[in-house]
Amino acid sequence: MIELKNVCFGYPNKAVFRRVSLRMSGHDISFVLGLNGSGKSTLFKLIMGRISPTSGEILLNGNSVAKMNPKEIARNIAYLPQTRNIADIAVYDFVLHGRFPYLGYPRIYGNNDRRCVEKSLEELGILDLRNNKLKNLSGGERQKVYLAMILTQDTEIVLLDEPDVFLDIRAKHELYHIIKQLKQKGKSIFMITHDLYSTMRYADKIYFTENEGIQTFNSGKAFENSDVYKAMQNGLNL
Amino acid sequence: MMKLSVFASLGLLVVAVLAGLLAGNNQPENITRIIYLVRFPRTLAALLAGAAFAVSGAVIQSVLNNPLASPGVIGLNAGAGFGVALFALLNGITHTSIFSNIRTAAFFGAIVTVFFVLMLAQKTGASRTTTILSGIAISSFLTAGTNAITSLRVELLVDIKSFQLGGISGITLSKIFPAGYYIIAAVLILCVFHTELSVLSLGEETAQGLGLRVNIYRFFFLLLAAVLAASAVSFSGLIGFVGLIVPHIARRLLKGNTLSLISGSAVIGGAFLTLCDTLSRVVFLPFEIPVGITVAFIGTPFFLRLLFRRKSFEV
Repeated sequence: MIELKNVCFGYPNKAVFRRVSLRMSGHDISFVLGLNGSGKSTLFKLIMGRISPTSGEILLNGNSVAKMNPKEIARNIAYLPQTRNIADIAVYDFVLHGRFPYLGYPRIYGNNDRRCVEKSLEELGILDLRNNKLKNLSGGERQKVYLAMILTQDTEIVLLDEPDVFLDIRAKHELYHIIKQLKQKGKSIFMITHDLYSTMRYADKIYFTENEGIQTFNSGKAFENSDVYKAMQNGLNL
Repeated sequence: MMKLSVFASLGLLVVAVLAGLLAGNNQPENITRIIYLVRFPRTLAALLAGAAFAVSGAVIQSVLNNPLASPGVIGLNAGAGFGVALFALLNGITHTSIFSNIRTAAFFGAIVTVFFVLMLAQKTGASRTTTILSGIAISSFLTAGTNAITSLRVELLVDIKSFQLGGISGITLSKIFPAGYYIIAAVLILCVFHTELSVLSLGEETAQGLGLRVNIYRFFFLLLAAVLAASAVSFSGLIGFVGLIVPHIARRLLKGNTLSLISGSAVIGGAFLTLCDTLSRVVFLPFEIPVGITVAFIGTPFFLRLLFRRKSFEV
């Protein structure tokens, strides 16, 4: 469970969050919506401890994120960033790095790590791509490889920053199918998107970032009946 | 296929070493002394310098995620050049210098510059772009400094130019070490931390998501790359190009993970520079041309052929 306690954060000349308190829990699919610059990605960065709140505290399963080391956080939270390098690496080796947070001495991935990779690739139906280079794959295939890495990372919480952007309809459909699979595995999925249609179709919970705060909606229906949704439908004037 | 490439690389290394030791004007009465006192140190220097430049280039390209990056990008060449110019100037004026010799001047010039570039980049966000921009800015400043020295003291131009062309003619074991030890140590450290280097090459966001302390490791790897290249520069002068092309050749031939990139770059870089040095030495006997020139003459067509054979340029 993620808990924000009176969190304040801002960039120079711009406040993003002011005294935000929030509990984000449940093994379900939560969507994070909001206008550009309203703090969606900042929220993820705060949760992962990559930036620190100017005041307040963020707890991960009761432990302060500020006091956890990066590998410990990565054993609890898997993160799919919006912008990614397309590295010169084979699919198998890439997915294997999902086990990096668990890597101890002598700094070599073991048989258990390799079994996790095989399982993830098989579950996502991309075992045949294992020897291909990441850069030679299509956008949809590459997205599956990233999700395979997240599966391999085997965390309770999954943060996805606009994973549906640039995907065609078929790839998007497959993406949501995988996300539902993740939910069935008992993971808590938080996903930033601008796609209202998918939000209404797949969301169990919605977090809406606006006016230096975060509003929570406990179902797609609740969001649909809100003023925020109506404003969004009418071209937004929040 | 990969095993074949590994054997080919090792075969190339053996051929290069044998050529380095045996090719040339072999007078039967002195051959043992020539091989032991002249060619062995020279071959060892070429092997170590080639490996150092190539591994340094591979690391810098991986960390900065830029296929055009080489040690020069983070200010190494300009720093070493300025160190040499400063040494020549101070030594010429006072006949004493803050450096014990030209090699030390090159080493410290390079290391101090790269350290300064990395610190500057850390202060301004430590992104790949700020690192490259800091390197370009500091390089321009130091190159201007070197040019100012050579403009004011024209008699220093020959010494500085010969350093910039690079060469290992007349090298002895005492000139190679301790820089040679630094090279071996840095390559071994890189082999131990190859997984972190691989994770870093996935990009800042992904690496952080996997729990890597990106800023610390980026600084660590670039500093190791600087130690490698500065050590090589200290006894071989500025031999450019090896650090740029050999990592690409290693990637193409070996197609493995980061460990095979590092070890492959070391083997191919060492073999390549040794072959180039042997050719520099024997083609125009009894004259020699600086090895930097041979590297460019041989490396460019080979690299272009590799490039066009695959049609697409892969990073």
